[in-house]
Amino acid sequence: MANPYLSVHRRMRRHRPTPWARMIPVVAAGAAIPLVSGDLFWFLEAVEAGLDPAQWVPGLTAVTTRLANLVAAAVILHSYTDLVRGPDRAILDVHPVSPRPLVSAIGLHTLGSRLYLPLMAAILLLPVGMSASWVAYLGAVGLIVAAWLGGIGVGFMINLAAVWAAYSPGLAGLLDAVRGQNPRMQAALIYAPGVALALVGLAVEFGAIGLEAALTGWSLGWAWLVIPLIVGAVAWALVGTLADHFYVRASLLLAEVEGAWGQHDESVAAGAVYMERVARGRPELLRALRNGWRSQRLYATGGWIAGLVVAGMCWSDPDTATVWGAGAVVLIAAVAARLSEGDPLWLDDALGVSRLSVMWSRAIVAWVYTLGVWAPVGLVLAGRHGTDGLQVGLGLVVLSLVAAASSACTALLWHQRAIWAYGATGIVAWAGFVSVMG
Amino acid sequence: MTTSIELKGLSKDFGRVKAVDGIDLTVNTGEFVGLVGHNGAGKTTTIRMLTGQLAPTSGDISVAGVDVVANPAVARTYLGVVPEHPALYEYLTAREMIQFVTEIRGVGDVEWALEVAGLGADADRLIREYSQGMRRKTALAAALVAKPPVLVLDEALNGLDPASAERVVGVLAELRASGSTVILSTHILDTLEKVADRIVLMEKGQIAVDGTVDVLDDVRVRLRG
Repeated sequence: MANPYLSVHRRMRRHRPTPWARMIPVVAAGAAIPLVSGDLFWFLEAVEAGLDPAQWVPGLTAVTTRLANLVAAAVILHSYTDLVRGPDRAILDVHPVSPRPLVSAIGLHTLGSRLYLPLMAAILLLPVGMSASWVAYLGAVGLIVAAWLGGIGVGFMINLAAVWAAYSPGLAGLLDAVRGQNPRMQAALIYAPGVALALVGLAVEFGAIGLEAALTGWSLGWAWLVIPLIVGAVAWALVGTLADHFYVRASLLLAEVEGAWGQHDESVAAGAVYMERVARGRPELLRALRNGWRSQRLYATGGWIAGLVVAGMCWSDPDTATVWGAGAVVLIAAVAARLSEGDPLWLDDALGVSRLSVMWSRAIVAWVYTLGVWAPVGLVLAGRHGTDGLQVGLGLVVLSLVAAASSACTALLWHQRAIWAYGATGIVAWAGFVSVMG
Repeated sequence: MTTSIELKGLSKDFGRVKAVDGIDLTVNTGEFVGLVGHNGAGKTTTIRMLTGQLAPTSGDISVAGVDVVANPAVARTYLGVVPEHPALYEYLTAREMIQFVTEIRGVGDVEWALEVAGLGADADRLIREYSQGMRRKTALAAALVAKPPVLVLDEALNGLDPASAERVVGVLAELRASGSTVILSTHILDTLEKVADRIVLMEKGQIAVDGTVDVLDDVRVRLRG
């Protein structure tokens, strides 16, 4: 019998007006190649100098490992949004669902809709094939595809297992110890992506060892590339059973978490939000700051976490600020595009609020959120690395202004689909920065 | 007469707030119950627990003899639900949405459901183009299509034009007459006067009044106060 959940996803794909929107970042990755290849693929200089593969393969392996982990991290987060927070859940919560075929359909949806991730990585790696070796290129892409598939399998398995963990009396003490201010049950969901990434990351490490060994002469190393895939397949084999027990219970878990936050939010609703003083006398900006803090807080807190991590990384190596600092700035500035997702356009029209003023308010929110990145990184660069460091730090400030403005601009133009358009412009802005400052 | 819905000592706490406070309610098969109360009285929380969308803090819930807390998925096979804020697949047409519901329930009459919900002429438009009223009609059609033995409708008449609301109430009355149990949460008391067997008024998470439609005058006074 046909899987009705699969059919419904297929029908929706047919009706979507812009199914190609997700391919925009892939095209942007292509545009970014000439800008970033010098910095990302520094090891290709050894190829051009005619050196032995042993001289450049470790560089390729290091870059491939990072890209594979990035792709895995992104698809693991997507597996959470598709499986736990996806639209199917709210719609089907009142109907008798068969979790196993439903989760299979969601898995296939994740596979199709997140295909842009390995495609982007494959396009970014093209200079390796063109300058060094197509065999090395295919090996690197193979590892990334294995990490992507492994990420989907492990992501689905761990997210469902997190529901079990949330209800498990045996884990209550542990969850209480790590939950911070979050409700206990939410702690399991919060840490699930990290656990999944640790598993896939370990598998990717083994795959990378195999890739390096294979490219330097140990042909059995090729077989190691499938290790992340095997880990993902084993995880996926458990998904059906876990879905039967925990897919429906996840809705109850989310209702509890939202209820707990509802109480918390009521008690803090009247309180000031992050950077509220900036908004004095500007109601649109105050609204955007409140929306940002209450619905997209991760961008504010994540900005500071990313900033401190990058600042630590560039303590001894200022070059990391160029690639990673710029990446973090571009990522955090995406908050302006996200802010437009739930905002009803009719409301502003009805209230007579200028769309341009809303756009600039979102841009300012995005810019103040990026402060968490460029302030600590800039301080470390200026303090530790003198004029050169200061130059990169100022560059990050300029990039944050450009990224915040373009993110808010895409929100004005594309509203619900702004994040895809910003994804493309963000990649190009990041690549341009790396090219100029690198 | 058999029991269709049974709530025993049902409570729900959100932190220090008691949203539902130890209610007992038994609804017999074929009864039409109007659930009324001020905003925040606990109607929606009760309905969400009854339909397996929210776990109670304490107490028992059964629908058609099935323990909702232990087996929410099984209980839903007996339930047709219109939630307060219905979620729908935006990129399906109403016909495709209702067809999908019949596929996952294994039974249903798509054309009948579209007709009683008043969606006939618009059934082939995408749901994302619908007004709030038409979305509610689609959710109604989805709840009714399999003619489940228990119907639970939370503010299901909100946003419907008077003619549509009257048609829906008529269909609910017909389903009740053919043996379905109906719980309708609404603020429109005049509608309940025509079709309900029982009125249950909730106040501060508790059942304040439970009686036949004769209690409606008392309920009106309490709701105005």
